[in-house]
Amino acid sequence: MVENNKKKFETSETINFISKITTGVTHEINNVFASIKELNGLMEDLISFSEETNFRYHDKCITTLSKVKDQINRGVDVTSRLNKFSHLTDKQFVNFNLIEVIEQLVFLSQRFGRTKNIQIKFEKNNNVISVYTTALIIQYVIFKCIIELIEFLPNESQISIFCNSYGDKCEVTFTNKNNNEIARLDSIIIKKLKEHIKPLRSYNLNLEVEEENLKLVLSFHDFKLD
Amino acid sequence: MEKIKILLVDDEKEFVETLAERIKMRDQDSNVALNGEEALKRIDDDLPDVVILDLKMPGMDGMEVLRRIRKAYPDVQVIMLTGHGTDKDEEEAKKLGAFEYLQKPVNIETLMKKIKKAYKKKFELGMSAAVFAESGEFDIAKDILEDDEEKSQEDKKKDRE
Repeated sequence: MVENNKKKFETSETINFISKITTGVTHEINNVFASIKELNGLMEDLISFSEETNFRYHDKCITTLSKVKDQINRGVDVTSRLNKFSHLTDKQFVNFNLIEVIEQLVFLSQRFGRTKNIQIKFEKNNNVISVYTTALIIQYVIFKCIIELIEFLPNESQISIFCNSYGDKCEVTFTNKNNNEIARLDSIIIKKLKEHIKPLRSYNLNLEVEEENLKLVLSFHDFKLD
Repeated sequence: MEKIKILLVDDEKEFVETLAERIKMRDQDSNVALNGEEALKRIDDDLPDVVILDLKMPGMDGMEVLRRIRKAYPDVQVIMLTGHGTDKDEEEAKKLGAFEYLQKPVNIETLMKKIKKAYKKKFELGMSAAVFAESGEFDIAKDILEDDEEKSQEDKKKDRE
C-alpha cells in the first residue's frame, strides 16, 4: 500500500514537473516567435511603405517574407496547443470540453502518422461536451489508440476520429480506412489496447469494436451537453 | 488628424520596440516601457490614450499594473497582449476593466483596429463625463472631469516650469 502510494506520488510529481517545464518553455518559444513575427512584419512594412518598388528582388522579398510569416504561424499554432496541453495537468480534476481536448490531442499526434503517410483527422462537431475528470487520462488513452492504430495500419491509411454523447455516455469512434476500404482490426491490436485501458477502469473507460471501428466508451456521472 | 498616444509595456525588448516602430509607421504615437514600474511612471509623466500591456513580466505583473491604471486613470483604455494566458487570466483582466485581451503574436492590422476602438471608447467616456458633469446628475462623472482638470492644470504647471 505504502509502496503503491509512493509510486502514485512519484508519477504525479513527475508529470507535474514535465508539464511545468513544458508550459514555461512553450511560453518562452512563443515570445521568440512573437519577436520574429514583428521583425518580419517590419521588413514587410519597410518594403511596402517604400516608394522604390523597382528594385530587382522586390517580389521575391515579398514572397519570402510571406513564407516566413506562414512558418511562424505554424510554430505558434504548435506551441500554443502544446502549452494548453501541458496546462491540463495544473489540477488533477478539471472541467473541460472533451471536443476541444480531443481536437488538440489529434493535432499534436498528427506528426506520428507522417512517417507512414497516415492522415489523422478529427471530425469536429459544434457540440460542447463538458466533462469534469482527469483530462490527462482521457488524452493518454486516445493517444494510445492512435499510436497503436498507426503501427497496425498500412501506409497511406486514414484515421478519422469523431465524438458523440448519449445520456451519460460519450463515444470516441476511430474509423480506419485504406484505399477507401475499412481496414480490418485484428484481435492482437484489440487485446493490446484493452491491456492499456485495464489499469484505468476507475475512470469509467471501456473499449469496444463495432463494425470494425474502434470505439472508446467513456461513462461519466456528471457531464452535461450544452 | 490627432495621433493616438499608445504606451507599449513588455519586458521582451526586441518585440516591443519593433511593434512600437510599426505603430509609428502607421502614423500613431507610440512609447515603450520595459516593466510595470516604468510603465506607471511614464503614465504619470505623460498620459497615454491606450496602453498595450503584457501579462507576465518580472517585478510588478500585468494584472497589478492594469489594476493601478484603472484606479488612477479610469478613462485610459488597456489592451492586454499576452503569450499564453489562461481563460482565468482573461476573465480576471476583463473583470478589472481591460478593454481587450489578445494573444501574442498579433496581426498588426488587428491590433491597430483594436487600438482605434479603444481610443474611441476613451473619447466617448470623456465626452459623456463632460455632459454628465454639466447636467450635475452624476457625481462620479463630475469627479472624473475634475480629476482630469486638476491633472491638466498640473500638466500646464509642469510645462511652465
